[in-house]
Amino acid sequence: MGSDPSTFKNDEAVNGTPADAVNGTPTGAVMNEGGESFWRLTRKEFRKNRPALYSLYVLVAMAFLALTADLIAGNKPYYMVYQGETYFPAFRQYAVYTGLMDWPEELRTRRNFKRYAYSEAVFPLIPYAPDEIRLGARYERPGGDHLFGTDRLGRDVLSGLIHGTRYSLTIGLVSVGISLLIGVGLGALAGYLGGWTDLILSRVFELWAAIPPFFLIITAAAFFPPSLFWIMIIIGFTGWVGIARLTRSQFLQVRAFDYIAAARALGCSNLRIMAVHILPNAIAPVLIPAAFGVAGAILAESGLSFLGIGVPAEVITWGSLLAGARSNIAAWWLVIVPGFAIFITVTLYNLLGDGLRDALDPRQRGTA
Amino acid sequence: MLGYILQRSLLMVPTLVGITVISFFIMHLAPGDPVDLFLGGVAGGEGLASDRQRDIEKTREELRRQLGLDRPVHIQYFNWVTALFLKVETLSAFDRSALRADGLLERLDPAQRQALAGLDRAEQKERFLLLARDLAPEEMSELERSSFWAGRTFSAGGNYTYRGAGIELFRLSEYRLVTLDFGRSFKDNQPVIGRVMERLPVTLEINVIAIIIAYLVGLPLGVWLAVKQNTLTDRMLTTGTFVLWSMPSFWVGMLLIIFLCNREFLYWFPASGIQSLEASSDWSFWRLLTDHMYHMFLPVLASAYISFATISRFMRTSMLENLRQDYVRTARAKGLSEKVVILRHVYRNSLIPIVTTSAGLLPALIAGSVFIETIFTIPGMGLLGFESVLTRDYPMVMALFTIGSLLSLLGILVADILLKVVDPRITFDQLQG
Repeated sequence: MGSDPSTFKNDEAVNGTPADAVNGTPTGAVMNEGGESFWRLTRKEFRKNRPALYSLYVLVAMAFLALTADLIAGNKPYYMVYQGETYFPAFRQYAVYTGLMDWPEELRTRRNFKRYAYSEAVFPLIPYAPDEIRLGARYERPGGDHLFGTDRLGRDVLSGLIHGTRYSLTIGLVSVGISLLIGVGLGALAGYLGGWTDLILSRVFELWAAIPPFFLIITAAAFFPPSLFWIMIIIGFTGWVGIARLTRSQFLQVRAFDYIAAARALGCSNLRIMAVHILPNAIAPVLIPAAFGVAGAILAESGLSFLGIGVPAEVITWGSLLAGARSNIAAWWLVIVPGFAIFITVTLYNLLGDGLRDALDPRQRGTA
Repeated sequence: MLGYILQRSLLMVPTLVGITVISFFIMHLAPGDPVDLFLGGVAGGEGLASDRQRDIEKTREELRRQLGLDRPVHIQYFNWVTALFLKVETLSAFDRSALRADGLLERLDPAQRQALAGLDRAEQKERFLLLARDLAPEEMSELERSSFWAGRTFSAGGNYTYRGAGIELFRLSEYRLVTLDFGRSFKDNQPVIGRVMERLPVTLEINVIAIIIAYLVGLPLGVWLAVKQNTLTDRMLTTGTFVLWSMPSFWVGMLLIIFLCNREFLYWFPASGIQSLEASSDWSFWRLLTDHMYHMFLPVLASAYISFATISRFMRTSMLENLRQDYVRTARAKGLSEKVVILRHVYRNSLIPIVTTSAGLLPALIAGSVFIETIFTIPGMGLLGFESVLTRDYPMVMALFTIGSLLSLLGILVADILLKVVDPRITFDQLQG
């Protein structure tokens, strides 16, 4: 989580961090007197907030689930004996994704490995790939072979759900990463340089904040070619204003400190001062809108998939699973299951954001 | 105060222009254009014979020219803006004659007009020209030669109907000055503004009712939860509002429609539309109203719950912050009843941040309309927007974008004005000295 400011040489001069007062003046000489660093204090405060802490644990577990999705649900067996040879396709596919290996010649004919005449095989717990079409098993109710049922093409919902974790988390994190890059960059420029730059950039922030964000997302997603890449860019480009404004106010405060004047006197370049001396002391509060931003990005992505805008038709996300219920109103499991996944993930990020806010901004503690 | 409102309204203009520039350029710089969509799958097919390919290419060029898409983007934007704010348009000879004929008909007395209406077409023309000669001899030569008569559209009134968009300012001249012309839809060539105005009332109805309900329920709940802080009810309901707040609106909409509008479960509400199919104008007012309310119940509920959760959570936080203030202790110390302390002192002060929050509710609700209206098939702006982004109806999308942004900006302005109303300490005048 960020870098520890105590590793920087100018740190002796930091007489308090701006982070504990988002709107007010920087106060409190936390580090020198108590002997505890700001980040350690924050971590301690965060740990006290049980819901936020557990949310973090569950989110880490979800990230793990996303990574191992192919081992939990998929039609590539862990272990398979085919034509006398032994293969480990479930593991091998990770090497194939990363381009380290390719499938051997004899395994290239079918994507569904259940169709090979294997003599022995151990399949994952859920032996269906998310996009495996089985027209014989359309709209199967939950229970039996398919724990959460199937959709209109007989695709397993649970498998889609597990693999959908990848899209949700990636899109959430990457979009917010893009927002952070733009927001922190522009906010830092505006706050540090001040003057005309600040005036112009602040007008840009105002303008961008006035656009109803979801309007922009829907329009842009519909007009650009359907791809997850564009979705991340579009969501990232709509969500940076709050971050930029916060960064600007942080930089405005920190640049007035004496150690910045000292750094300038030592001949540090502007870029170095911004990136090395101010940023570590100004970045903490930005984590709060970032956490809420991930929740927002996941909501936006699943909303778009639900409407069928911008997400390629063959990609199975939570939103597109949910949209499947629109063509068959009797398929209640298509509403409950993916909707619940979206809801839980969004809630977890919101709880995380709440916890970060409480830990970083002590004045609000206990009120929200 | 009035100066402030005026100043803010003027400041909205550059913001709105900026928003339209951004949205216009995003739309037009995106790869592909509506023409490809019109031509469908045939365009760009590689197996086609070369002369067929050339035909398609020609059609594409022609369509692009007709829609004005062949010009550079900044010129297209300039045309769009000038059409929107101010446009002087020459009437065609046909329209001009029709307009003149109507102008003259209005100057005839009712008995003469009545007599005209009873005649057949050829006699009508002759008789009309005879009557008109006395009224406006200088216009006669042009009126007689006009192509208008060949069109056989003459009737004893209503020859000229304005088919353009927006507000017509100069009726009886050869030019018309038009504003609010958002162009014509690519889809059906109807003026965009007319379509939007058809759809706007339903969307506003749902959202305004949703906001009113959200405040009526959310504010008292927030106050009550703050007073009962840390009791079991507070914990449960605060968690409940947090859960509601995190629920995606499209999920709630789908849950409602699957479980309450479905013959497989409960069929309590209609799944689509804003009134029953069999509703007709001979139903009594009350019957129409209750039928309409019956259809609107779930959409309004699905729009309102998030604002309701937001407001009650904010209100609770704000109340708790204020309850810690010194003035509360003072109020209690001077012997005021708890009811007066809460309702007169704390409640009023807690409202201030709520008003600011409310500015963000309207844009969120308008964006939410896209989901609510697609799920419940309600013919509002949200559904229109959804359909037009899919068909790349540039003029329609631009109109919706502009009107949506305008509504959002107005929401922010109203919130700032309300802030002044609830908190008289705030002044917007310039600081003295």
